[in-house]
Amino acid sequence: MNEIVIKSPTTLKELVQILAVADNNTYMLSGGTDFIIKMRREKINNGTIINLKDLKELNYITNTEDYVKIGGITTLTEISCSSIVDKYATALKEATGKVGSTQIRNAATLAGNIANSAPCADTVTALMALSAKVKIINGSGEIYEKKVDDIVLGSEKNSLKRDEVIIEVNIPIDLEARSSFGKIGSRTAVTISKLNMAVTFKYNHEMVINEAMVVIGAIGPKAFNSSTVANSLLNKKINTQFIYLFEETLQKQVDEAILGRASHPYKREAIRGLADDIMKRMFPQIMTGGELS
Amino acid sequence: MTELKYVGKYIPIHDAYEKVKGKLQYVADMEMDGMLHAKLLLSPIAHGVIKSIDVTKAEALPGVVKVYTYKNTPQNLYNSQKWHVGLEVVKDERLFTDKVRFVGDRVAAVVAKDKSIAEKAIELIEVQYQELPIVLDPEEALMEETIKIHDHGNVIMEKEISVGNVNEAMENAPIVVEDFVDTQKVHHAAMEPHICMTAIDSTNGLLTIWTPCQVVFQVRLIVAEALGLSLNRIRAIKTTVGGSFGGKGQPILEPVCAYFTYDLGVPVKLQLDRAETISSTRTRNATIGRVKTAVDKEGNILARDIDVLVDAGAYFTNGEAVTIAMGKKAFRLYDIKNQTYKGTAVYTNTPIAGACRGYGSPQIHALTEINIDNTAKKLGLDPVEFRLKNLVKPYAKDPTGGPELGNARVIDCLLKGMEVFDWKSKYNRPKATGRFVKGVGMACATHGSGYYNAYPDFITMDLRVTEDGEAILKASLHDLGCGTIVTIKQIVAEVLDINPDKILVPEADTLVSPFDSAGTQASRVTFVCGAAAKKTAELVKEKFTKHSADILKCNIDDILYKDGFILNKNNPQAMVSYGDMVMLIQTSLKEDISVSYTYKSPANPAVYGVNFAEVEIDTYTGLVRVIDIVAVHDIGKAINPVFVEGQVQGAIQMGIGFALTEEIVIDNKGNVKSNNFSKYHVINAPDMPDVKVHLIEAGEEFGPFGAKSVGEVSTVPIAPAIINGINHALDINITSLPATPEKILAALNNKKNLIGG
Amino acid sequence: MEMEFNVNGIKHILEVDPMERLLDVLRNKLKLTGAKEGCGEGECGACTIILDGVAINSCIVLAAQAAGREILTIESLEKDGELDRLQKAFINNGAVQCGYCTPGMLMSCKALLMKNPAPTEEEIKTAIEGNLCRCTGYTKIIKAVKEAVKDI
Repeated sequence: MNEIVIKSPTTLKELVQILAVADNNTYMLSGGTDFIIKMRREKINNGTIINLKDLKELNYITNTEDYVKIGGITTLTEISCSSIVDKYATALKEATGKVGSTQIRNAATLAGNIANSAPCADTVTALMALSAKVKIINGSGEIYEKKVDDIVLGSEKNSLKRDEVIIEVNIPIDLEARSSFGKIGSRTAVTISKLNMAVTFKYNHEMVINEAMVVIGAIGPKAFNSSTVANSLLNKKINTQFIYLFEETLQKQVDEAILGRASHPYKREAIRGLADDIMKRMFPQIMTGGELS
Repeated sequence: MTELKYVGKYIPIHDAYEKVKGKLQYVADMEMDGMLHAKLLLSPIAHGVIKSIDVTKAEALPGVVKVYTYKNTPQNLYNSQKWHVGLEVVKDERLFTDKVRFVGDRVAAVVAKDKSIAEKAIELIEVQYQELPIVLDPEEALMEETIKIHDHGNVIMEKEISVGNVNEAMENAPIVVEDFVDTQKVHHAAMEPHICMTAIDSTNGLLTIWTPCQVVFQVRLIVAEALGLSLNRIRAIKTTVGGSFGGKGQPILEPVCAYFTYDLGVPVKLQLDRAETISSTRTRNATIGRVKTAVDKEGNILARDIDVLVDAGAYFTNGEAVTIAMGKKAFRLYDIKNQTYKGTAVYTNTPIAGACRGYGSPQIHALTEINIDNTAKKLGLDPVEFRLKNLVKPYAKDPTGGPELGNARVIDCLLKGMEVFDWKSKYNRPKATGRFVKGVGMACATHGSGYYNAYPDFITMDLRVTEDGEAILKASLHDLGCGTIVTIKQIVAEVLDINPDKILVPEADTLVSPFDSAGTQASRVTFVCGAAAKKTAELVKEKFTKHSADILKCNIDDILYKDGFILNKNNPQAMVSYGDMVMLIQTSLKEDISVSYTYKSPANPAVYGVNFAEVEIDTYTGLVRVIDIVAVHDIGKAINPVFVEGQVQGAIQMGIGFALTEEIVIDNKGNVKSNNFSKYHVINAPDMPDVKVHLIEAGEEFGPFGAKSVGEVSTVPIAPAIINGINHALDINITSLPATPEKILAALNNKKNLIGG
Repeated sequence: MEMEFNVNGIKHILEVDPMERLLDVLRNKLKLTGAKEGCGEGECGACTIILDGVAINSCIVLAAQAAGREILTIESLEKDGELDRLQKAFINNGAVQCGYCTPGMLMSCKALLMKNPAPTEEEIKTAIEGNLCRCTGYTKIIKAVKEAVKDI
């Protein structure tokens, strides 16, 4: 008879010991909100499940001068309510607050969301726009960093080896940058993104953009960093004209990405809404939204 | 009229206390010694013949008791819609099929010691299919002659209802407005997935079925037909229902599960998961409709021509009945002298349609009420004014000879709603030019109150005053969460002047409940069963009065009832409690204060609902937010106003989904794509607007205390009201439900191109 | 696997299959059938319980993950024969119809009030955004929560 074994390490040391013998039938279980559905649907009934939830030492949100550090089992609710995240990684606060329902956010973890690597994962889009890295531990006890972008392969695939676990997410702090996230689904709340986007802007006192990062999610197997859109915004002054340019280049980007797909006509229009939402949130004094169009 | 003591008041639903404690047992919570668990194997393809089924591996799995397929089960044909024995209807369902007709058709089942073994064994059944070409589109089904879903062809029925001379009126009309409106298949989305439990009752040998159903006598009938048993061998017990909305009306699991128990002699539970419930039970019928309305320049409707194609899905069930029901409604809302309704129903290789709250009314009203708005627009009239010119008036006649409309108060509803909603100013205010645009829409609707004039509509009730002065009413009643039991208690309480807490009203059980012809269907319960309860209570009271007069040695006219006591008004000091009086009557007169009465509904009055909706559309994303709803209902009399509000508010939630977000999406292979709640979007709390409910209580002659129906009509006007609001806001013409963001943006783009080009 | 569960203040040592979900253990082993299964995917909220002070869907948590933590189910709301104010408010406001969503709905609301004794309407809506109800249109549920809060 097939057998599932659950191991619940309580320290990193125990985790490493378990990881050392991980094989192809080893599964990482964090909040469980995606995994348990998958496990039942795909009828996974043998192997080892490593329950990460008892690694209490991985439940934290702190910051140094350079980084916001989020422990691997920290829940999305905890992140969305964190003043540290709000201050230094606004896009992540906004994204975590919009994932699933209250119950889902209470269980789901940021590390789990990254590892799950769904094309529409809201947090991944935000983390990419924040140039976030993850800290990984492996079965040899080695700890190293990788970019979120490198972990997420998309279409629910990640690049983690079978003995690797995300133990921390690191978001660089840049006091001159501001970020924001937006999503569009079928409902106001509890909805899978049809489209999501996160941006990080740096601008001078004259409101001229000198650095930009624009990440668009749910229009491909994974969120992608659009340098085309970002570059088009460089050296532009953030004013009422700016949004038209932003929307226009986003539309071109969507055309480039998914032209010919059934979802294209909708997404090329709807992305304007995302741009408008984000700009309104970031620059309420300038952007009065659609009233201009 | 004397003041009512219990009717018109809020009393919580009878099982509220147990429900909030989580103690009330639904079938999922029930267990029996030695109970086995069944799991179905559903067809993975939309159309094909089973070439072979190999169950040996499944049967070999430890814990598996038996595997069932068409080869070892009765092949009696039945139609799950058939709720009374005289209903003549095409029978095309079987327990298990050898030819699958949709993704979700029943191929086999495993009965095992526990659920997980049954689930594993299902995977081990090897089926080879000879795939057949599929027909998914009802219009294609209409034309297709070579691909036959059933041997008798793909067209189930065609029916025309006509009054006056439509062609002549159309030809001479100055203005004719035509619309094409299609509506989608939707899922009832009761929170409790389909479930059933069966056992042989060792105390009496009966094949007993516990089911969250709407009609116990239908369950008994269908199981008897499917299994080839006499009615007396079967007992159906209605359990607590976790929502139905028509979805649990037709027995789906009952005959299958009952057969397992019949064959094995042990208790069996069969429970579907959400995906199975969405794809393999029942849906609302999808429709493709065309309507032409002819008007004169003043806005009087001269004629209307309606043609609806109804998608029945893979089996007949109520395809014919719902198509006719739709047509009948078209003649009972506006005063239209010349009108034709043509309904055609077809089979497709898609999930089976069945009863669904409103039973065709949401579909036909979506078609006609969107068209009414477009006609008003063409005339340059406010859509409310246009309706006011044409709506039926109280006691108008149904031109087809259908049941009397009765005290039809749709105009009162309209006027009330218009005032509360502040329609005029909202309708005429300038439109925003930015990203978010608001609009308002409204719609009217009608529905029935029972089956009178169409099907047998009677119920037998057995009411008795007990020796301790309480009462027990036995009747085949099914509370679906709507408050039926309390409603009936309130009616009996009012007549007998007994506190509702002291009236026992058990739910339906074919062994102990007297017969009822139709169950909880067709918006009949309050109007028909409520009237039956009232009449039966009056007869009991008459008997009580007569015998009390004998005991108190006075005239019948001298008997007074006061706070649970009976007295002779000439000797008010000698008060006798109800219980003591029953005892005295038993002892001295050898009489029982009980009456068994069969009430036949004498009428089927129309009910009306008018909804006003304010919507805000995000023109960038196409998302629609429903901001405000005013719902006004012509209810005759609300027996329990809080229940009525609850019905309306829940119905609005369902109707918003129908208008905007809910759809059983089927891919080109016939698979249901939206088979879970992450893809099948019902409206949740953040998207639910405030719903203001107003009631017109003008009384209905044959209703108990003047009451008529509300449960179904309340979900009808909302979808066209919202669509009309969207069209008003954006000056587009959405005629396809649901109005998804994609459809709205496409319509906006078309408009832009038309203006631009 | 033998595990210890702390449910409604009572400790239970149970033999649990590693695949078993918390919902299964509550319903099948402890016979606490108040939490319902409506979708099995964390989308309907009928199985909502409170785990370490927050509302979660017990259908997408393995029992093993809840071992040793503090679990509260609907059966814990009534104290010494007296209903919780939320339960009373649900009854008094017609917030209960078919009742299948009710236990989950109540637990979401309870979790909200444990953290936030005076929630706004928006906060109530967010707290129950993951609890679907097909009967009430939520209106009377929200009204009931407001009334329960008002009494504090």
